[in-house]
Amino acid sequence: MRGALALLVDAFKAILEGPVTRPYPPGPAVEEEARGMPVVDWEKCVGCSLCARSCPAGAIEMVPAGKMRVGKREVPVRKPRIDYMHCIYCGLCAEVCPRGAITMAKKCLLIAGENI
Amino acid sequence: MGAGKIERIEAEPRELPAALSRLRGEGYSHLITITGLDEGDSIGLIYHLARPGGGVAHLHASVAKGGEAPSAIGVFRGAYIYEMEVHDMFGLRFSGNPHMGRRLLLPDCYPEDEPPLLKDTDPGRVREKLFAPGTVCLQGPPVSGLSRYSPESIAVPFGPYHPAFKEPEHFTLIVEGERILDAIPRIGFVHRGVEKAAEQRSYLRDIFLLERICGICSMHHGLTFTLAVEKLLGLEAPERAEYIRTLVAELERIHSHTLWLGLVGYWMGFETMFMWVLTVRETIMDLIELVSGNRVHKSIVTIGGVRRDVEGEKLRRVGEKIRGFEKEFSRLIGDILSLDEFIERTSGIGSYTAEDARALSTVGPVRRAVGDPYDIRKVEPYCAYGDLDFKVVTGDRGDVYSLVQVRAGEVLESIHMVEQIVDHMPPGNPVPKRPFMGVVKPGEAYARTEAPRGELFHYVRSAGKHSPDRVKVRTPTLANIMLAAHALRGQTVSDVPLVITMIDPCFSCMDRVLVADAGSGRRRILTEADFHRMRRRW
Repeated sequence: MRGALALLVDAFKAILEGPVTRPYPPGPAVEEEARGMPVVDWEKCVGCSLCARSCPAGAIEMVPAGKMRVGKREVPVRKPRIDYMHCIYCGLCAEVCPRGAITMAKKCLLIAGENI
Repeated sequence: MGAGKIERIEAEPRELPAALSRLRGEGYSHLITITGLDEGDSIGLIYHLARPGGGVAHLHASVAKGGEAPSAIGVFRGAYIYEMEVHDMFGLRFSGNPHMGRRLLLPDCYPEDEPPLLKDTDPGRVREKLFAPGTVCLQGPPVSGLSRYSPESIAVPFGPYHPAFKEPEHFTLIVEGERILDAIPRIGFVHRGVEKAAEQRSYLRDIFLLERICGICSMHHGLTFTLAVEKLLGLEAPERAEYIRTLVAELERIHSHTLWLGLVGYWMGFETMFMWVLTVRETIMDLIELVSGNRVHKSIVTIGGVRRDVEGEKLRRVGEKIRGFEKEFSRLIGDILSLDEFIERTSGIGSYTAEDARALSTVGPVRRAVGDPYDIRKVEPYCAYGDLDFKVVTGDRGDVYSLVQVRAGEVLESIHMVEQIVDHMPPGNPVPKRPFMGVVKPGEAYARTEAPRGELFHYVRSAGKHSPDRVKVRTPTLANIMLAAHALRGQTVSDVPLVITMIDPCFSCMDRVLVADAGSGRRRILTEADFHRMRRRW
């Protein structure tokens, strides 16, 4: 119990402090510390499917992506496509990728269904 | 401590009550939970018991499938809810438990012959049976009607979908005028089959799955599971990783407690307080994003360490911001606790005694508010808690006001812990070279941590594969919900939201294990005789 005096002091403080309501958002839409969203670079990808197997949400599908030269032979290869509606944006795919083909881009736009 | 491999004490099923009371006599007075296991021809039961001062015992018995086990309610009053869970999930009956005739978690129309956690239960087959024509589902206890408590009393259905609930939950309130005579909870409206799903994913993917049990104490679920798996692997996280885990855990406690404080204001009709508290809380959400990269699901814990380091500059910013938060929070809590309206609206509301809290195996702030310093961080320190200087905040009476004091005190303690972590962060690399994707040797382990709502318990059993053989989660709300029902008695209907909020309920945490959910069918009209018969079963 601090009584009426304390409340009065608080009231005066509040007058001097200015409005409590502040414009929102106070900063950029994507914080620099946010994990961001995974983006696949098919050029770097070797089609190992480690990302698809480790994805907690099962949001990565390996889709046919032409052929790749292994030694002297041409073999069909599958590359990852991320379903951004299922993605939980944890960044595990970027962590497990042996070639650094998946990076976490600092943006937050949602493009459903299409590979970008 | 806080986690370990399980050393079973074996017992014959019929000797269970005697063995439990012997262990109780040895000081194991807190029943954490009962884990059911599918052991092929039989169902295994593990009773996890704890001493209030630290130390866990695991009593194991095997009961033939379709057989009966004697109930433990004579020894532990709170055991009946765990027995009902095993009954629902494994189809095992407990003789002597008066609640065997009804469901706790599964919908009433769930097929009797397909207990969901048996290994040979096929979710597809269950779905077929559930959606077969003619299956109607009446969820929960009778919807409304006259009650036999007294000629004037009626049963008021409260929930599962109600403006006063943030999550679905059902309470049947027997009221006489404004006064509540009895409250009967029915849970299970948000089951997502997490325990079953965890058996089908790799350990690494399970961390992310289990984090999604709860959106508020998400990191504690990931952490507790990881601690258990690390015990199975014989792995120890680097010291710096333990400190970062503690840092995020304490930030999570602050954000959970402040959110709760806001909700208390909201439910007592003091919306300014809600807005004010949530504005102050925003600093903590920013800090969580700064440290982990996410605001809600932190996803920072991984097997063998953490996924992100918190370097010097970030740490400095954490220290700076937390000091600013301390100032704002102290002023806020000082103002709130000095308001006469607040004191009168919360004192004596939802009161309960220390005996109730112990008998119903409650955990967390609810237990500490009646002066019982039961805090896993202190009794079995895990992560960096052994190195930190903090005190366990306790109250002197159980009611909403005392819970506000306890949780506010805990927020201040957490702030001091964060400051200590910032000042004494050990050097080293906390991030493992690569994520763990291997096989875990056969074995079983448990871990328990102090989540914001109380003691959180995970049991993990491995059969030497990439995915766990069984994961069992006991969340604090399941242990506390019976107390909320108990505390509702004698209150008025207008206090219901406030009293239920008192335990900081997280219904999604409590409901985890359902395989499929059926839509409800036609309404059943109950005669008074029906109602009377059903009432008897409760």
